[in-house]
Amino acid sequence: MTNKKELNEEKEVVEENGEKKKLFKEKVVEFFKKYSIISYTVIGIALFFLSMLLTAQMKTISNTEEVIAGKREAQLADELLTLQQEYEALKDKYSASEKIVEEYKNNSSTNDALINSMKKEIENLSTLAGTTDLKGEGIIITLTDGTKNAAEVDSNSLVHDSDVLTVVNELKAAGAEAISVNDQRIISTSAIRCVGPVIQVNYQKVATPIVIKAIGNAQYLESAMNIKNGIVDLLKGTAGIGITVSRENEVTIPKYDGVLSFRTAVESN
Amino acid sequence: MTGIIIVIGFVIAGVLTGLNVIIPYSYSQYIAVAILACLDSVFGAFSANIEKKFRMSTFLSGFFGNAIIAMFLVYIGSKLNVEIYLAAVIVFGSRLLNNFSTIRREFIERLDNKKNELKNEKKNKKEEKKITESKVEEES
Repeated sequence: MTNKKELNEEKEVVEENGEKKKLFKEKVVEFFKKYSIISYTVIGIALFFLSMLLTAQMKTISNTEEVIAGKREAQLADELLTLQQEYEALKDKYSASEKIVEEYKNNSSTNDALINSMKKEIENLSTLAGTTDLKGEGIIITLTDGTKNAAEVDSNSLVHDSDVLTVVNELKAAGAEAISVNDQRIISTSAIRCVGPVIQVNYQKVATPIVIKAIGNAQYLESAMNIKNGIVDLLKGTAGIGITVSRENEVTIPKYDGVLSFRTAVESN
Repeated sequence: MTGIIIVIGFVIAGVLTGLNVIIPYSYSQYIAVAILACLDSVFGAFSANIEKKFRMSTFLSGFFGNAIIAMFLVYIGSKLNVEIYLAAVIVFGSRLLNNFSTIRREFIERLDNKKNELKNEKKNKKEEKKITESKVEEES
C-alpha cells in the first residue's frame, strides 16, 4: 500500500514537473515570438559574416604593401630572387667541379706525349671558346651616356645595345682576338640586346659606363676605332655619346662565366 | 531593442573574429567582391524594411547567393583573363546607391509629414485661440 501511494505521489510530481517544463517552454517560445529573436539572430549571423570579411579584408590589404604594384609583379620578384640564389649555388658548384678537372689535368702523367698534345689542344680550344682568362696588348673603350642638359636628354644620347654591338663588331673586324663587355666575355654564342632600361650581355645585366676591352694588335684596333667617319665619329657626332679609346700594353679579359653546352647541335660527318 | 542588441553583438563578434582571420592576398579580390554583394543585400534589406516588403528568405538567399555568384564571376574572369568581376562591382555598386536613395527619400518624406503635422497642429491651436478670444470678446 505504502509503495503504491509513493508511486502515485511520484507520478504527480512528474506531471507537475512536466507542466512546469511545458510552461517554461511556452514562455520561451512566447518570449522568442514577442521580440522575434530568431529572425534577428538570422540577420545577426549574416551580418557576422559580413563584418568578419570586412575586417579581415581590411587587415590583409593594409598588411600587404605590394597592393599597388600588383600580385603578378610580386610573384615575379620572388621568382627572380629564387632563380638568382639557384644561379649562385650552381656557379659555386661549377667552379668546384672545374677545379677537380684542373687537378686531373695536372696529375695525369706529364711524360706521355699524346696526353701532352691533347692538353695543348684542350688549352687551345678553351682559349678559342673563351673559357680561360687572357691577357695581352689591346685597347679599352669606355661608353657613357651623353652629358647634355637634363631637359635635352633624348634616347639618342643614351648608350644602346646597337651601339655596343657595332663597337664589338668593328673590333672583331679589326682583328680583336678576345673581347669583353663589362667583364662579360664575348664568345661565339654571346648575345647583346636591350632589355628594358638595361643592356644584357650573356644574359647578365650591364649598365653604363660600359667598358669594352679587346686584345689584339693595339695599333690596328685603335686606328680602326678612330678612323674618319668611323665608329667613334659616328657615336660622338650624331648621338653625343661619351666614348674614349685608350691603348694599353696589358689588358686582362676574364673567362666566360656560364656553362658551354650544345643541346641540339651534333657533329655531322 | 533586444533585436538591435543581438545584431550589434553579432557584428562585434564578427569584427573580433575578423581581426584574427588571415586571408591570403591572392584571395582578396574574391573577398572584396563578396563583401560588395553582402553590403548590397544588407542595404536592400534596409530599404525593403522601410517599404515594409522585407522577407527573410529573399534577404538570406540574396546575401549568400549574390556573394557566391560574385566570387564565381571573379574565378571565371581569372580563368578567361577577362575582368568579369567588374560587372558584379558595377551592378552591386549601382544597386547599393539605388537602395540608399530609396532609404533617403523615405526618411525625408517622413520628416516632411511630421513637419506638416506640427504646422497643422499649430494652426489649429491658433484658430482655437482666436475662436476663444472672439468668444470672450463677445461675452464681454
